[in-house]
Amino acid sequence: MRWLVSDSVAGVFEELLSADGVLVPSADEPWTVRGRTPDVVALPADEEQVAASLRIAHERGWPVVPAGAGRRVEARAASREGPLVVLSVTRLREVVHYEPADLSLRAGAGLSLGELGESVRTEGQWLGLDPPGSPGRTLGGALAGCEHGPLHAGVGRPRDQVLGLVLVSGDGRVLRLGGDVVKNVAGFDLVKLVVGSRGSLGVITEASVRLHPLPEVDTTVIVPCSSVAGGLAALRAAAAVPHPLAALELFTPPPSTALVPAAARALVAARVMGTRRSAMRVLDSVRKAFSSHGEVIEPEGLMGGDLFRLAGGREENALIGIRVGALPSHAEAALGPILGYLGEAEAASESREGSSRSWVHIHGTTGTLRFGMERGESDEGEPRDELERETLSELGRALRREGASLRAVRIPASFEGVAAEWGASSGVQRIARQIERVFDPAGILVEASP
Amino acid sequence: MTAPVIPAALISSLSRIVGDDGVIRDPERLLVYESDGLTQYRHAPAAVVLPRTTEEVAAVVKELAAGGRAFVARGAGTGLSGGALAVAGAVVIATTRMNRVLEVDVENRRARVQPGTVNSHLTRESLPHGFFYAPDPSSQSACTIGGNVAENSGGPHCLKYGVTSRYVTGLTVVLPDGEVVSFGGTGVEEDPYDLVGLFVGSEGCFGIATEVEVTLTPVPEAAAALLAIFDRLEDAARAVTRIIARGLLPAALEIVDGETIRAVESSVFAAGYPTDAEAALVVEFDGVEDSLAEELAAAEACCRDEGAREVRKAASDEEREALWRGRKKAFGAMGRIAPDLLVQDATVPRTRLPAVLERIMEIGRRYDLKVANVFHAGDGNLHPNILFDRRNREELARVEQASKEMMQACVDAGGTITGEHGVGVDKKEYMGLIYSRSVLETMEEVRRVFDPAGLSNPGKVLPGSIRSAIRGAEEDAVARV
Repeated sequence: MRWLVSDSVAGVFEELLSADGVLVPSADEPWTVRGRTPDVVALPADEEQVAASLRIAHERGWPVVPAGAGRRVEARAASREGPLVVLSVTRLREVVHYEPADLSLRAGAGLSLGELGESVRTEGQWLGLDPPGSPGRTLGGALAGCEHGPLHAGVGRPRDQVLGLVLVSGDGRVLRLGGDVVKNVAGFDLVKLVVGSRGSLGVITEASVRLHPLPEVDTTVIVPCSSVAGGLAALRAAAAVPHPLAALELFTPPPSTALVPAAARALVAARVMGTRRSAMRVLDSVRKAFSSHGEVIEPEGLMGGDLFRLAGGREENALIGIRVGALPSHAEAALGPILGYLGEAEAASESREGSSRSWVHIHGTTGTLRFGMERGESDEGEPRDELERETLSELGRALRREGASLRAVRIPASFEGVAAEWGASSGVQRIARQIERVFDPAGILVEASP
Repeated sequence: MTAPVIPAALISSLSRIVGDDGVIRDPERLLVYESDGLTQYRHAPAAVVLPRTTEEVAAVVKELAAGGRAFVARGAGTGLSGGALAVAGAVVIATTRMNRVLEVDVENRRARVQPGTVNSHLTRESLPHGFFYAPDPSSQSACTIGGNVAENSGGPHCLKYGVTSRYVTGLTVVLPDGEVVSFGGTGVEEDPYDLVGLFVGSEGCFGIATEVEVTLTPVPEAAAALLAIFDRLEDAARAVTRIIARGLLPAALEIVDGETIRAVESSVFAAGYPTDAEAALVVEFDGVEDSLAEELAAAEACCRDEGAREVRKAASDEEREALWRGRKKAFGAMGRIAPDLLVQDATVPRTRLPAVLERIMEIGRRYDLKVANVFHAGDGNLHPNILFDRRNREELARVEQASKEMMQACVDAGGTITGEHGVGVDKKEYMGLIYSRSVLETMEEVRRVFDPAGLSNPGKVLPGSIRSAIRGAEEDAVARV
């Protein structure tokens, strides 16, 4: 029977998208959604095909997981009934408009951040989007996701980089939102609603983004610290520097690199961008702030974002990835329970075959913490036992008592119940559900982490 | 004009919540609330209520909602799109008494304020700690943070620092049925959507913000400015493009055109700009002191390459203030040229500025109207100001037609109908120029999520089906102008 269903779903999409727009994946391909192989991966070639695909799914009530490049599709779809459709925008990779002197670019959502970066670098420009992960991540995926990277400190959140976008809603309406200009207050700001919505309101097919001129200097200065407390002190000192930093992060343990002594328990990194003269002054201040907390290193040949990308890699590959929001002044208080939890979880995982490594990253200027467990070699991503779920649940309760808030970025299916405990207030939830109905009346879209 | 009828029982209920002195019904006193800064539109509210707290706002809104009575939140009334106009028998809920800075939290670089807090007061209270509140609308000494949230206000320094939405991190909101909810906040990760981002710029249609959390910015170490004088407006616009393309990031890039210069120089605000010039460009940098001279020199070279005949650099804060004077006093000075001023607002891609300015001036000439331009050139945010006399009805008709053509010119160039003033009543009929019907319908559906009864600032932002609610006001506006 399953074959029949799959055949008919694939057939419907083949009619819409022709054969090269449809993939019927086998179990070992990267489109697997939480261990479930989708019935079809739709690869529409343009906005119209995206709209037609969503209209069909809307009419038939087929669950759709919006996806970018499909390196790893995480979605709460495994338990949905009916055929499962993954809709990837990977073929929408055209640069629609690029006028360097306007410092803006409009491109298809399937363009990878790496390709986009290359094409604007030749014009002396860059895009301030740095979600954790490889350069293969798509523009649409980076905007639909909620993982802003360390550059948040210097250039603002992902939503601040977006001038406009095209969203195809869950019922197939093509909505051209915002525009291509840097200041625009015409109508309600639906762009902000869509950025970070994880595909739950529709599929982003195109986006117009703000670009920045490449700075004369883009460099990173680091201080390895022998204790996490020392790292926190260095972080606080650098956060108090009265100049804007492009990024400021604490990593514990430090990402593996030859630059960092093996004994270091934490690493604080500050990224500085600007004109040569201004960067020198800012670097002086950061060095001074760091100097009483360890040996300050200015790695030769380490480009501004390299170290942050290295650390971001483990966020991308995490089995569990959780963001914890706290006021910067409360970050230290939140860190204790998190380290306690990770210690326990790591001990538990080491007792099994394979091992997991845990990490905590802290944004120096916002106080946001991310923590997680890396995927162990023999870890298939599933499942951890009841005890570990209860430990995480208890951690959540402890953090919430401290006034912190949590959001699961990556989490195994068996932990979804724990993440559900961290929801927003009932008023906010009600508004969110009603907004979802506006964009996706049949409720076919499944939140994805592209 | 007489205020709309309102039942005595409702007035009593409102008085019980905010006190007798918190409800205004006296027609003389209601005159103040008939319009915002865009005085072409006038409509008296049914009453004005002056709550002091979130709880009072919630109680007032509940009372009004129970009677199906519309309401409009109002800050200082400095808006320029008729957004605070009370139509459809609405009651104005003014935030005048909610003007406290609740907290300046230096450690976490944020402040919490009541919505009636005057924009510049927040900076005044933050400066002793080495911080300021970055969005700086021209009316910052009068406009309120609540109004800035509603309009997503900009200002000259938004070129570098960004507009209001970048700085608002959390909101306490009274929804149109009186429920109090909290959106976002520093350290809040759990909201499923960016409801703060959605609320900012919603022009009072989603409820009333009663507490606002904002990010504070460290005061830059130093600032430096230059004034470049041009014989052609287009050359000044090209200099702006050249400066941006060169990779420089000034804090502000502002153009004042010849018409405006002459108005300023013949007023009490004279700033020493040459009256035979056709444009003056103010370029300001701020940041680390060491690099400012270099950046200023690079900007000067861009200006000279585009034909600047003179470049003046400010050596001190006083000189910098003097360079800015002509820009900052422009609107005040225009009163000398004509009794009435229509301040337009649109944004175009920066590279299209020279062509669009040329088209705007051509439209002005064709309709035989005086047009003066003062604008945030670095953002491509134009403010063509049409000078006229409202008593001349024939001229008024030309103003309206020219204004519409100017909007179309900006849209044709890839721009938008408002960069910072908002849509209000003034531009809702232009929304169709930039958005499809399905986008407008989606906006209306999102509005209904917050306000199913349509009571929160009705008749604003969206055209079409809700137009009937404002019809009376528009007819009245025509009669009054």
